[in-house]
Amino acid sequence: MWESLVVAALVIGCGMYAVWTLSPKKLRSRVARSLLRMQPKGRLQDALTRVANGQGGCGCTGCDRSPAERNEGAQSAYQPMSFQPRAGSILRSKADQ
Amino acid sequence: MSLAHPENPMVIALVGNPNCGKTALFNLLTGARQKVANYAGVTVERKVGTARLATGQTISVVDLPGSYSLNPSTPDEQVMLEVIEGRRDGEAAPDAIVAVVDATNLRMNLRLVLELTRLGKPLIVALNMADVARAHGLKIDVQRLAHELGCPVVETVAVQHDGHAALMTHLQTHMASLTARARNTRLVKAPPHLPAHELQARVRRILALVAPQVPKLGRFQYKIDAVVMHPFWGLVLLAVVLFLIFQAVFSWATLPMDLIKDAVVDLGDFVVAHQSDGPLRSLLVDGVIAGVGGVLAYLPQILILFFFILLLEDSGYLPRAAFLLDSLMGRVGLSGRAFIPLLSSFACAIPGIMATRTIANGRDRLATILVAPLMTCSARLPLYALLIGAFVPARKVGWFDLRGLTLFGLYVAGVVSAMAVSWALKRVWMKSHYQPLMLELPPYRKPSLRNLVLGLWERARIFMSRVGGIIFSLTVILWFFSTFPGPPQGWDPSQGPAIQYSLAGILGRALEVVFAPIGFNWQISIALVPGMAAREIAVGALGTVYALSSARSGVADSLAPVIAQGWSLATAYALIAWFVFAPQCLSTLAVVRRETNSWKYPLLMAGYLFALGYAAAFATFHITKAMGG
Amino acid sequence: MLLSELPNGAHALVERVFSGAPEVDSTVVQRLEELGFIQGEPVLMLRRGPGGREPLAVQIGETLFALRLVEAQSVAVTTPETLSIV
Repeated sequence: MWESLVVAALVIGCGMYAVWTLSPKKLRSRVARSLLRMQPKGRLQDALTRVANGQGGCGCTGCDRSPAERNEGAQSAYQPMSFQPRAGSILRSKADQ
Repeated sequence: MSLAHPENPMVIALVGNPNCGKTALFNLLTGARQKVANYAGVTVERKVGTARLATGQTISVVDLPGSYSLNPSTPDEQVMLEVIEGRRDGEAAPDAIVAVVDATNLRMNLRLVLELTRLGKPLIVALNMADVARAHGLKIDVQRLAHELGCPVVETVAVQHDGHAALMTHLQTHMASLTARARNTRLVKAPPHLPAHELQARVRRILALVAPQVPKLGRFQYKIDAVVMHPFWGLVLLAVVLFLIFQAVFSWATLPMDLIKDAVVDLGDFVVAHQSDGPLRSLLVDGVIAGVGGVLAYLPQILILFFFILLLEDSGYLPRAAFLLDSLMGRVGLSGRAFIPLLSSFACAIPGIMATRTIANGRDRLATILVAPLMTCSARLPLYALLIGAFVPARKVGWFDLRGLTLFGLYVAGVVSAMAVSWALKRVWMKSHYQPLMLELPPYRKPSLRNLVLGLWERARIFMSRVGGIIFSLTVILWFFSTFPGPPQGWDPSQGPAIQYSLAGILGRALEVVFAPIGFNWQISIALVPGMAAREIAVGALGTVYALSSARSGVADSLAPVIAQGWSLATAYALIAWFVFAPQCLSTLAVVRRETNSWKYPLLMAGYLFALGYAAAFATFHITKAMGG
Repeated sequence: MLLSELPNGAHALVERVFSGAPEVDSTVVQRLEELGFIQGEPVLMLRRGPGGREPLAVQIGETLFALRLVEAQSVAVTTPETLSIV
């Protein structure tokens, strides 16, 4: 009996996690925002605020960032090409911090 | 606005040329206490961290993007100038500026420093890579330099764990005076910019006083470049290097992989011995251990691959590779700037796609985005390794292992297909635009062990969090759907494994109709479904599905021998061909949608990649079958 | 003389940077100056990429850069020979 409960809990937990991670960002921020209205405390609040503001994963550790104005990106094309941009490695995504 | 008060820590801004080691210094100062965001409206990243002084006080450190001059010619640089001057709304004006300078190239770096001295703000010069300069026999009169510049100069070695000590001490001792001066120079407007040649004349004068011997790039550097950048031998060397890397990925990984696999099997046996038969045991053994454990075994290979990539990157080789490949890339219509995004895509296409923001021309950028997923990302490695390990014999071809060769071949296939697609796009769009190159070729450096270890640790962490997160949860869900609904009353194992009565089994058989022409059985078909979320999940999914199909219940078998037995060679090769192309990564498509601001391109990308994957798998399957596989 | 006309291995001094091709606008000119292509600075043409045309590896001061052909065509240089003629 308890075995089935454990299994069910695990499966449901994983289901919710998967749905959450794979949901589009907008949906997640909306859900996070409505959850924040219930005034959670501490780290849960921090985590929810981050998601509500548009940060959060894509199945990796999260390399999301809302892209700036399209044409602004074009301007930085005139910067000389350098192999050590912001992060320490070009292979490290911006959010692998 | 910012007074050095416990609640309002002092703010210092790091400014310097790209490639001067500024970021490494920033990392030293702030450790893990950093946050990255964007300044509103521009792509400039705002990196802020806190440094803790020995007295316990904290200071806020802002890392500004590397630049060669304060003269703003792009909105990005305009923002940077405003931040430095304290004119940016909502940004605390820096109390002091730390100009990070590459001691081995004062000629270039001092220009920016001179511009900064003219601002009148409290300035400290961090003479970075002082150790390298000394090793090259370069003697810099630090006292004289400080006198000529009119500001303190401290030495830093950003690659040493305590290399920032002098800077920290200086900040500590002078904190009070710095903040007092800062208050007085609060709103500073930059004086009109000096023309470049005047600035350079001053630099030359200072150099003559401070580091009079003419520093020459070591003879050694030229000699290395004579080979590395040679139009023929350079390319040969590049090919050999890549070759060797893939050999190592297979041969070095064998031992650790076997260790992990044995540990996983032992764990499975342990659970079987201690847990009675039932859904929990099945979940643990067939779901978690067979599934997740299967993916875990590929960590060593990923780490070995990244070890070499980080090594190449740290040593300064990569810009040379970009130099060698630039004209070839141009011929297929890829901008020279596409090198970095495409190279990043070997780790994961998502940061690669985001890195295309530096490509000005819209069509060039789009072309790069569309081909980035063809670069063999690190998630494909477990799949390739599994299939090569099960179906390619460990034979020697000359010096080389056939498996390593095959892996190398697959990576080449990814690159070649990317070039082919790009070429096709070029024909359709007829693009050929000027893309500024101005690629800096830094001197070769001894790769830093510290960076290497940190980089590998990062990769391992990312992999483990992926395994523990999405891979684990989807494997459990797949287990669930592969177990329920169960077989009907009166079923016995001779009628076939129970899994065929489950939802996954039924769905798999339905999908099999679609995939049968390319040789995929229903197990593969169903494994591709959770594999849409992340490619590696397909490895785990196959593990779980086969574990549940196994006639020997309650034994944790390794997947590779099972599929080696069960699949034809043609099926295996077709699956490999499928994975070279198929866009099994929803996140990538999501990023493309965000970066291109439309649904058209991600759908187009998914469409063409699935089509290519199906076609390649079809051709491979039938050709291999015809050849007796 | 243009930087792009220097043979491999030749030393020269930078005279000025200008727009040597329609694609090279004022931003690029300014960038080149910021990289160190300033009047009086020594420049060394190292080599060209596979194909012999571009990119051109150039050492300006102590820094090595790879430039496009049109970028190198926008830098006017004087060689010791031409200097002595003047």
